[in-house]
Amino acid sequence: MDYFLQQLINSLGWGSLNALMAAGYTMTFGIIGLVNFAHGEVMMVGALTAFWVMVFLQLPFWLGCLAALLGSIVVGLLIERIAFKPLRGAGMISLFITSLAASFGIRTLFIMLFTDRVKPFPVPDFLKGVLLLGNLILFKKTILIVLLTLFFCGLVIYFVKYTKTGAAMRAMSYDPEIAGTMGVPTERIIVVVFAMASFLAGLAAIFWGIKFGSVRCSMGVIMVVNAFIASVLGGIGNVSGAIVAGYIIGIGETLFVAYLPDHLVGLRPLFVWIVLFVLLIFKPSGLFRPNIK
Amino acid sequence: MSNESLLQLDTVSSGYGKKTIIREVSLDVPAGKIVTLLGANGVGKTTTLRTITGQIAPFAGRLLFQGRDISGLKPHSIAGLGVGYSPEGRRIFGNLTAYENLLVVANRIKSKKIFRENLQWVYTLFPRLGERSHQLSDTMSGGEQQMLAIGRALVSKPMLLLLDEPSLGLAPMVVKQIAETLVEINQAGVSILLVEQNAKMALQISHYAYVMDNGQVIQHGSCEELLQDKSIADIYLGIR
Repeated sequence: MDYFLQQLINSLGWGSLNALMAAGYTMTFGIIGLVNFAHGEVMMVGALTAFWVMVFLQLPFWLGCLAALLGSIVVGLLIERIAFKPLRGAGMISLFITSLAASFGIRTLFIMLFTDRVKPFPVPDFLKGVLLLGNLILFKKTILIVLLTLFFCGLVIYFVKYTKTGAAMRAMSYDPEIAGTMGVPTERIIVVVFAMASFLAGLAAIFWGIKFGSVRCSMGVIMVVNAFIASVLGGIGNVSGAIVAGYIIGIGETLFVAYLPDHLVGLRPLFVWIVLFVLLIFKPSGLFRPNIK
Repeated sequence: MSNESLLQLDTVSSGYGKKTIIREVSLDVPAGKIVTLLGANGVGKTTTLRTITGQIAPFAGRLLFQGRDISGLKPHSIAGLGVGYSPEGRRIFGNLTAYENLLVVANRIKSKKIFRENLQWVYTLFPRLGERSHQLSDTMSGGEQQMLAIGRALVSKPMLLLLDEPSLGLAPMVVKQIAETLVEINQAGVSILLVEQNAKMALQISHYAYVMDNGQVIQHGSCEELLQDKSIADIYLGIR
């Protein structure tokens, strides 16, 4: 029992990362029908920016965090402007291929320039250490990651659910053409959505760095697969659904590995694909109501 | 027509891709009036409205709103000038509640206070929307969805209301109710361009009518004139 609880606690950090990525992923998925593989690279660029600021420039941790958020937002908006905007209305397959190209392109460029070696992500002292809860060990960094994730996810859910911009976002997911005729400035809303999604990816980049103590150029690959599957699981375009699904996948994956025999630990990525296949067979629309037609 | 014109189409041609659907359509909506555009299925009425809202750009001709050329503007800019639109098939946002459907339009309204006033006005016109404000709009009845589509077009207090087949698929009682509300909306100062196949309802409430066939305006006049023109009434309006 203790083993299970301990694994459950450990999984919350990974679950938070998945939730943040899935929330952003599902927003862009919903609003322009985009299967955005490049979302993982948005996170990676944020993480690398933080690495440069903290390790090369020797600036403090909080400036590194700020740099990660800015880096992610800038690259997210640039990808939108350069890769996706020219294809507005071109259909899902074109966007799919373009986002794949953007993802490969950015990742390969970064690996060429900086190699895929693991890069240190300095974690400040106040995030090191553990709390003891009976027999259970609580990492301080996990507590911070979970609390901040829940806070920012709460903000995003409130924004999407209760503001007029949020209503416009959901309306655009459902029927972008009519949303335009209702006076919704559709291009501006798309920019807002990409900025928010990239901000969440930047947060995920910081939390990745804190959790693992290192970052690398290929870090976005696993993340984006999980985010994609979580956004399908949560109902496409449904932000709160994606957050719950992100936690389900993050926690499930950790527990899956925890109960695998040691020599099979390499099967870790299998978990999300099993989730996807079971989902497609039994409930292809996801656990929660999708936000698209 | 002596009144000042609010919307004017001057020999507008438009269509999809390279295919021309409407050819040299000219029509005029004077301020404060209800004008109706009649015709059978597939003659270009909806294409005319979609050209006015900016969903498709005209191939030729000019669209003037308050004397200003609006051809080539983005849909949300045209909406922002004071054009409300209730599309064919209602096209409400089924994933939103009734209230949220109206809230979407708040994106083009300057202050919260004005939005609340407009919202109150819409709820007065369609009390059912007030009662159902927190219901998911997908689950509302056809009549309620039509009211929502009209309410959504009105919540910005537009100068011009474009209505595409508001009577489609509704029970006669509901059609009558909507027709009465349209008159009330018009009396509140909103000009209306109504596209209808239900000529009987349309002619009862309109001041002026245009008849379209095969992408062109083939006849126009006051409603009495059109009803007296036997060939038009027989062939195009289907009422005698």
